[in-house]
Parts: sequence; structure tokens; C-alpha cells
Amino acid sequence: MAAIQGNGTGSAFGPVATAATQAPSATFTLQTSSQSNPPFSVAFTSLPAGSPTAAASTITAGITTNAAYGGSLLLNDQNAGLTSALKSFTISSASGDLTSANSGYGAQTTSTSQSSGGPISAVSPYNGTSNVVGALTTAWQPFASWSAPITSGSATLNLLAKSSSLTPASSDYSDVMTISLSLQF
Amino acid sequence: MYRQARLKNKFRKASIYSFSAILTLSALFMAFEPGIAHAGTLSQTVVRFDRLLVSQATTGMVCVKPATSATEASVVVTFPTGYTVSTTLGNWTVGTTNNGWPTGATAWPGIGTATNVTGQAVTFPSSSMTVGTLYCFDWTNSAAVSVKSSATSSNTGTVVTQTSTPTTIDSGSYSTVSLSGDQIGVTASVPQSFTYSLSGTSDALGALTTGTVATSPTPRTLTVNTNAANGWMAWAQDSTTGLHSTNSGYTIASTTPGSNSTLVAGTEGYNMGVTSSQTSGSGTVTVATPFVGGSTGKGGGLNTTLQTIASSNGTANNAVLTLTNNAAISSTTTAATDYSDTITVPAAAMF
Repeated sequence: MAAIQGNGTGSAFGPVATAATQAPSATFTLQTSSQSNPPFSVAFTSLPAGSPTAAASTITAGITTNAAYGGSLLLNDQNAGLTSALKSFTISSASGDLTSANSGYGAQTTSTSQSSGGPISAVSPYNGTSNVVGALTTAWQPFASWSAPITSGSATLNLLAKSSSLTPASSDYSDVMTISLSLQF
Repeated sequence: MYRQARLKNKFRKASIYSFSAILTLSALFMAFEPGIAHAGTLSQTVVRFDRLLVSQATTGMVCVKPATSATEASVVVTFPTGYTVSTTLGNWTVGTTNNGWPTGATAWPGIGTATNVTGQAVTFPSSSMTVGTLYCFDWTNSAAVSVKSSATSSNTGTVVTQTSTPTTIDSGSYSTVSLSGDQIGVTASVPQSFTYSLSGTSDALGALTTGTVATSPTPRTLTVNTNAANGWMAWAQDSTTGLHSTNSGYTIASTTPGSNSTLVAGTEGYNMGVTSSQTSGSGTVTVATPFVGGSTGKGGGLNTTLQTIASSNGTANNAVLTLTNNAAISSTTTAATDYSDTITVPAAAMF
């Protein structure tokens, strides 16, 4: 702003203030520790009774976005557990400590990182350590979130399960997890 | 000349003041005129696709935080280029059950099935919303929209709130992605387990008399633990179809093998009764009818052929069969101290 008329002193007009709206952007990647490309699969080679067991591979989601208010990575689960069609039995998923649980199945966000922005962090109940897991349900659940634009954000999920002595033996236990994202622009 | 310049200057001043006044009045008029909304930018815009897989039909979520105070009557969600948008209004059903909504979100008031689809833009009815509150709804039928056929980043769209006119109140942009894989298959194997134990390998019935039916002083037990979904079975056979004395060459014969009997003191006979218990498991233990025990002298005769003594139809934690041998003699039973028998009790799980 400068005086149009008068004796006031002033400098020349400065730069014009502008407010350009940046186009929303998002890039997202999904992979496992053993597969860079789909179809993705994670296996528990064996679930011996009484011992919490980690899946052989981890799952990593990567996100870069200019969403001003951040966002979250979400998961949902087809069976809310590991289901054997042959034995008509499900190892149900529940939040808690598999060390003391009779049996169970769940996920942990074991690590998060970003090159800038965010920061991204694990969301309860998926922020447990050791054998503490968050339940996998048929509803969407955030497992990691951040509250500002983020570059090269990453969250890694580990699956753990435990069978009991009464969990029917079978080699066809299976489940399908779906990953999505919710970005707050 | 000087006068002319002053007049010109005054006129210029007046013009500037008039122009400023017009601007001010216009601004005031526009600000306070009822019924006219002034487009703003939504404080937050969120659109989540429940499936990110290319060409996948999907449900999803829409959230906004209004920035401008006005009376909303509709919201227009424009899906990214390449996404297949159903023109069947009935496919655009909505719900307001919180399914992974952002923290602090509340149900979108007045949201309902879409009323118009034009190109990528879908119009839903809405009620008025409060500035600064995050509202969400879900579109609940995956037939409504499908993800584009190629995997790309920054697939952008918009969300616009409108008055009943309709005039834009607020608008916002969002971005999503399409992937070649958004699911992880999980597999697991639970190994087979089966344990079997006998509490002992001998059972001395002691001296048999005609006045009583002798029974096992400490019945032996067979304990099964298994995760066999279809259960387990146990069988029994003996070596001599009775208690046999080598010295005398005499056998106290098993009583009617294959049927249940109850021995009576003074009448020669020999059988084995079985009872069961289980701590837990999906299975129910059933003792085979010929071997049902539970009272003195009650049971079934064994022979040299394996006979089913009990079975279960599911998993077992501490399933226990108690095996009670019974014997009775008559006054004509040959005396001997070496009557003996060997009973074999195998079991197997049915995985």
C-alpha cells in the first residue's frame, strides 16, 4: 500500500500479495517386506499352541501428500480373524496382549518415519509393543496418522497370532486385510 | 491556470472519495444482504475411497468442515477424472454410521440419497451445517462408483456445498490414488497335536471270591488332548478274551463281548466298564454302549478284536476315560494265582 497523494514519503510499490491455491496431491505405496508388487501376501508358517507368533513378512504403507491437516492410514479386515473354511473356525482378533491371551490375532504398527513434515505416528490400539496387538475388524480403523503435509511418510505393520491347544488344526487359515487412506485437505 | 488545477485536484479528490464510498457501501450491502452466499473454501475436505484398487467398485466417505455461514441445501461431490460414476441415483445411498471417520467428526445433517448425477458430479441433499464442525457421511453402495482403470497418484476431485438456489457456499479439493493392489492376503497353518497317556500299565484285581465282584482298585485312566476338529476315537482288545491262567489252563471268559453286562457275585464273568470326563474342548465324549460303566460290575467284554470303547466329535482338553476292570468267579472257577490278561487301548485323532 502507498499513498496516492500527499506529502508522505514512501517507497515504490512492493510485490503484489497473492494467494495461490496449491493443487491437492497424494502418492501412496503399499508393499510387504517380501513383495514390492501385488498381489501381496503375508504368511504365518505355523501357529503352535500357546506361543505368540509373528508373521513372516511385514506390511509397509508409504505416503506423500500436501493435505494441510494430515490424514490417516486405515485398515479393515474381512474376517475379523483368521478363518479356516475347512474347519469352520476363526481365530478371533482382539486388542490385547497375546502373551496372556488364550489365543488371538492382531496387528502392531512397529515403526513410522518420514523424510519431512508430519510426523506420522502409530495410533492406539496398534501402538503396542512386544505381543500387544490391536484388533482387526470389519470396520475401518486408523493404524497411523499425522496432522500436517508429509513427505515420504511410512508406517510398518506387523501381524501376530496365537493358537490354543483347542484351535482346530488346519492349513487353510486365511484372512484379507484392506488398506486405505483418509487425507484431510 | 492555477484555479483550473485546484478545481481538477478537488474533482479528483471527490472522485476518489466517491469511489471509496461506493466500494464500502457495496461491500456492506453484499455482506448483509440476506440470501446471498459468498463462496469460500471449506476448512477441511476429506474423501476416502474404501477401495483403492484399479477398476474396483467401492464405497467411501465424504467429510467437510464448512467455513462460511450459510444455509446448506446440497453438496456436490465431483469424483476424479476416469472414475466411473453411476448415473443411477438409487446406487447413491448414504449412511452416517461412523466407520473410520476422522477424529471429532459428526454425522452430516440431512444427507440423503443423491438427487442428481451429471458427469463426475454427484449431488446429495444436505441440511444446514455449523461453521467449524467436521461433518461426514458414507456412500454405502459400491455400485455407485468404481476406481479408474490405471494406477495413478493425485487423482483430484472437489466437494462443494450449496444453498437451495443453488449457489456455492464453500468448496474444497481432495486427492486420492488408484493402486494395482490394496489388499494383503494372510495365511496361517495350525499344526496338528495329539497327546495320549495311560496312568498305569497294570491293574491287580487281587483275590477273587464268589461273594463279591472284584473291580480295579485304582482304575487306569486314558487321557487325550487334541486339536483335531473331528475328534478322536479309542479302542480296546485283550490278549485272551478273558482272564487266563496258564498254570491251570483255565480262562474266566469275557462276558458277551459286544454287549453291555453287569457282573453278579458268584457268577463267572469278566468285563471292562468305561466312564468319561473332559475339562474343555469342542468335542463331546461318548462311551460306546457295550462298555458303558459307572456301577459295580457294569461294562463290556473284550476279545482279541479291537472294539471302539469311546469317541469324541471335537477338540479335547484333558479328555479322560476311566477304565474299570470287573471280574467275578463261581464256585467252579479253577483256582490259580496266575490269572492275567493284557488289554491294549489305542486311540487316534481325526483331523
